[in-house]
Amino acid sequence: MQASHNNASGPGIIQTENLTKMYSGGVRALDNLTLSVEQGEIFGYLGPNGAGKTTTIRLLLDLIRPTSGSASIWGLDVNRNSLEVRRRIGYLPGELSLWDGQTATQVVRYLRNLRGGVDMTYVHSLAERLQFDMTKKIRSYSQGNKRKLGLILAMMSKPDLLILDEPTSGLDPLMQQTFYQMMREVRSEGRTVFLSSHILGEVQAICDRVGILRGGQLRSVQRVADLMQADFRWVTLTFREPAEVAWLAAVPEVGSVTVDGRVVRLQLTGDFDPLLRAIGDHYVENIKVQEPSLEEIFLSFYGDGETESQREPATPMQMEAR
Amino acid sequence: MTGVILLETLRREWRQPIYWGLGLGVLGLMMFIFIPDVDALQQYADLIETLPPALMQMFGVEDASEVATPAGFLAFGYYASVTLIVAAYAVYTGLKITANEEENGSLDMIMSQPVTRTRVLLEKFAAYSVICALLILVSHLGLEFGRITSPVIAIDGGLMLQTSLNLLPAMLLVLAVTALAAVSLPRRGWAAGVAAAFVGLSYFIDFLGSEASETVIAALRPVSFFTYADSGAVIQTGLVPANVLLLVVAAALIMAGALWFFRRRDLSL
Repeated sequence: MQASHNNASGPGIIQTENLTKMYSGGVRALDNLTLSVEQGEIFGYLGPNGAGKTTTIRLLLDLIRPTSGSASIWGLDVNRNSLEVRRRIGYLPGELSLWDGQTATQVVRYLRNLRGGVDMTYVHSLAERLQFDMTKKIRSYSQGNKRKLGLILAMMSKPDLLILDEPTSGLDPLMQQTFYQMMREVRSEGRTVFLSSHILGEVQAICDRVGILRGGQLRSVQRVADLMQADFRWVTLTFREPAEVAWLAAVPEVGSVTVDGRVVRLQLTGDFDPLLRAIGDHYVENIKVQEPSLEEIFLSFYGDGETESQREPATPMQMEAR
Repeated sequence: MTGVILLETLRREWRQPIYWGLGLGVLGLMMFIFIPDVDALQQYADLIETLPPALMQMFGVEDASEVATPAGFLAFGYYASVTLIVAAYAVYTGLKITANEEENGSLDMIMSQPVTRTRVLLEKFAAYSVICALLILVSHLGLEFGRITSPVIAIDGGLMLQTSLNLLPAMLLVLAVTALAAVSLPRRGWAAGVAAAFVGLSYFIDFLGSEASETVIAALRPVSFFTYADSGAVIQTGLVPANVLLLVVAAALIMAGALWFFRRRDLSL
């Protein structure tokens, strides 16, 4: 597998070149990240906790400085031209910390005054769409409501680029749909969204392209539509008798078959019907179907033979993706 | 827009220095209430004279006769302890410049806006300097009320005001030291410890140095900011411009150092 597959059609508005960040103690949080995000797309940035997603975002916002490599947005170096870059960015951090004793309105006013050029009518329209009451103090809001406020703060200046770290974390399903719609509108206006997530459904719903990060390294970047073609499921069949599975090899779209006594695990790409017909002559006690993790999809897309879940139990990230 | 951070900080924080100032003001008022007349002051001075010299020194009294005057008594009974209290307040307040918001993550929200680190640090420092000044002025109201209403104690109001204002340069210095510690150390607790140690060491160097005049510690007295915030001298003769200037310049230089660190470092997550 290559270190990166940007698959971008033109020069990106976000460009990183061998971006590396090492923290004290020699922890390499980001390793030679070369990435390009195009104007007007929703780019999903995926990976388990600790993969380097937030580090990338903080580097782009100049909150931290790279150990080596460079990053630019709209051709402007994110460190040297930090002010100009941040003027055009709306940011939602993964863990939103605000001032507990202030009301949402006071927080909005403060950040509006810092930024300038924010239309309060638009702020109220965002609050209305997200069904958010701006009169309460921050400490009284639930996690979901804080997330809504974070989205309002990120979007209120209609920035050219939205950088959102786990934007739907804590939002109820209805609000998630509203959020998806808002992001589609942002894209239709030619603006760009860079969002980090570990939720497959979210990525499938709105992203044009996704990049997967693991251990600080970009494993792959791909269009979501292409990825979904590589979609598959894990099927675990428990037979009454120890299984003879040579006949499974003839079943279309079945692969990676492993046998453990009466239990057969296989990878199914496509419809269930051929498999169900093939096992019709055998007594099956149980059938279990598991959606693959994002990482497995990526690995399968690039033809990596043995996938993660064949070697070890699912990680928390994989479980969430399911 | 310039001044937004300063004004927002003042909007959020203006109550606290008033409460602290009122507390110190009440303490100052009590000093006047407890000074019934000049005879009583003399008796008080006689009592002080019975204390061991080291203990007198600890209270900032070199000569017991100093406290026999209203001004001396105020310097000994009020300003000596209040200098330490406001220095501690400056440590507490200095942590609010960046350390508290950095530790809880809200600094990220500010720094993701189009504002420079220089502006954030300087506007916050300016805001907390105003807050320190507000504390001093409110606390001075208590003293002034006591001075005006005291039937027997005559004390120069102008000198008393100068002595209160003399607390401000020391507070600015401690604010700057705390800000420097906060931006150069990775944890708020470490910064608080370093700043508190700075205040504590300064106090004891001044105290021990003035007690043991022929020792190394006495030679170190010039590095203690308490040496330049000598309320006892100011209440007798007024502000010493050189001392004020030295403390203000030192605070400015330390803030320049804090700025240098803050502009170059990573914000912690």
